[in-house]
Amino acid sequence: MSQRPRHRSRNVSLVALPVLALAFAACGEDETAYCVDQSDRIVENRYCDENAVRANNGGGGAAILPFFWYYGGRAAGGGSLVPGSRISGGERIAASNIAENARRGGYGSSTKSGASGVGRVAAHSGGG
Amino acid sequence: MHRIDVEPRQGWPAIIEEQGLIYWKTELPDGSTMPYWNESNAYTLGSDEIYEMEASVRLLMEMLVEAGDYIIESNLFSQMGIPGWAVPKIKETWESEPPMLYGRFDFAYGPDGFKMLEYNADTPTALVETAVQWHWVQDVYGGGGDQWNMVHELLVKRWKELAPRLPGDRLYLLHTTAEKSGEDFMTVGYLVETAREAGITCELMAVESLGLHPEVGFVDAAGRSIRSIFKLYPWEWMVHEDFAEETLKRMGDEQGQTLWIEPIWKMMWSNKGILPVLWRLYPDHPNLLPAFFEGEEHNLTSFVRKPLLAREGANSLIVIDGQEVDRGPDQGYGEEGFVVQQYTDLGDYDGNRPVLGVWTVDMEPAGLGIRESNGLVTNNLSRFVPHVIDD
Repeated sequence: MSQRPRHRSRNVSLVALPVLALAFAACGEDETAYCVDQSDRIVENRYCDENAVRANNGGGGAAILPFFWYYGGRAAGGGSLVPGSRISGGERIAASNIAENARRGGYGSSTKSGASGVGRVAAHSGGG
Repeated sequence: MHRIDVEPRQGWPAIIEEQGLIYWKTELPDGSTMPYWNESNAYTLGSDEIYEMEASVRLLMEMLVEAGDYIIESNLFSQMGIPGWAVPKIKETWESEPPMLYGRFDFAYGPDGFKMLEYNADTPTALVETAVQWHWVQDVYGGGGDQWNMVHELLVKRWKELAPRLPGDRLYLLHTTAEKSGEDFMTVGYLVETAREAGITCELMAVESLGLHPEVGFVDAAGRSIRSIFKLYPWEWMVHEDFAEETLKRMGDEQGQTLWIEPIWKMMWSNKGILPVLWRLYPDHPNLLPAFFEGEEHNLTSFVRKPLLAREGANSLIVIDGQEVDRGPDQGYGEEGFVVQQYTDLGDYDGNRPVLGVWTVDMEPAGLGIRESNGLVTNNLSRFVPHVIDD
């Protein structure tokens, strides 16, 4: 073989993994959504709910109120997330959005019986 | 190949955790833990051995393509425990070739060379370990340390090729929250890392959070349409779950549809039924072990009986000279059928039995990761041991 193929990686730079490790340790995803008004101020959930209902019923001619579900945010002032406080750093989606009609949990049931993850070794029977 | 003693790095647990291997403690049934990462030892290989493996894997990939054609032509789906209603999509994607990403062969390496034990085509793990061992070889051997490890850069290269083919403005990478050690989460996290490096916008997401909207199709937690998915969640589970029918109905790259990586046809390659199919097509191939569907006529007296779909060695049974010598844990697999594969010696290295995992990215051989066990079944009590090329 005149020219030998290279085996080694040029460079493995694991930038995001340490961050992810911390995220997992902190136990991951906070799926809590907060109902906010136009200025990202937290309001009671019922505003968003009414908003969604109204939108899904075609609005009945009434204007759609500007309320939003806010995902993955923190209190802007560093305080707690309670009605009246402003939230930032996440993402908002109009409460009238059809997302509320989505069905969830359609995947994941197989893990509950038997093995947990997809399998460490996922390869088995070494013995051939 | 040899197994050597190596001085572990000072403070290695913190090092590997920082690099993403946060799941290095395996919990034992009695509540104690054992390390899954072992850097007190290493396997050494010569470059000739690596070249041989590389060449074998290249060939095996071609053989797998033939095997896929054969399964379809001979309609072996029901024999492989694949539900009939999934077959049209399997055939369709096999022809249209939507993006595929990676896989991992497992080999026994004995006096007769490399023998394929199986191919994990759908949801192979140990990617993080493979990356971490690269840092190990650099730390321990310095710039001169070599390793068969192109996995990272080939993944990045592959994502770059796939980027223009992915519909939507971002790729969702799904893990299951049922896995509590962090292994699945970090494996998907590692793939996020490689995809980002290739310039793809990524969202890490729990498969349990996936939403399905009657008009929009699959949506994320915020209600955005999901057009492209990588899932570390096997098709063999998915096809029996609630979203299966809609997944197949909405498979594709049009509006309202979702492109899935790995593609559903990988149900053919990741199924243990691939082993008897390969043996039927390529009898006496030097990298294959004789294998049969259970019920087929054979004269094996020493063999491993594996459920078509089991993972982690579950419900496997090892028979030597007609006597059962070991079996994997019972996780209720086997109803879907079994294959038998000739028993082969993994070799005994101070009581440790290594399985050589060879990564493939797209169709390319990409690198090596070795796990060793004490028993004959390589199960979830195995240990990942780094390797080094010593010439």
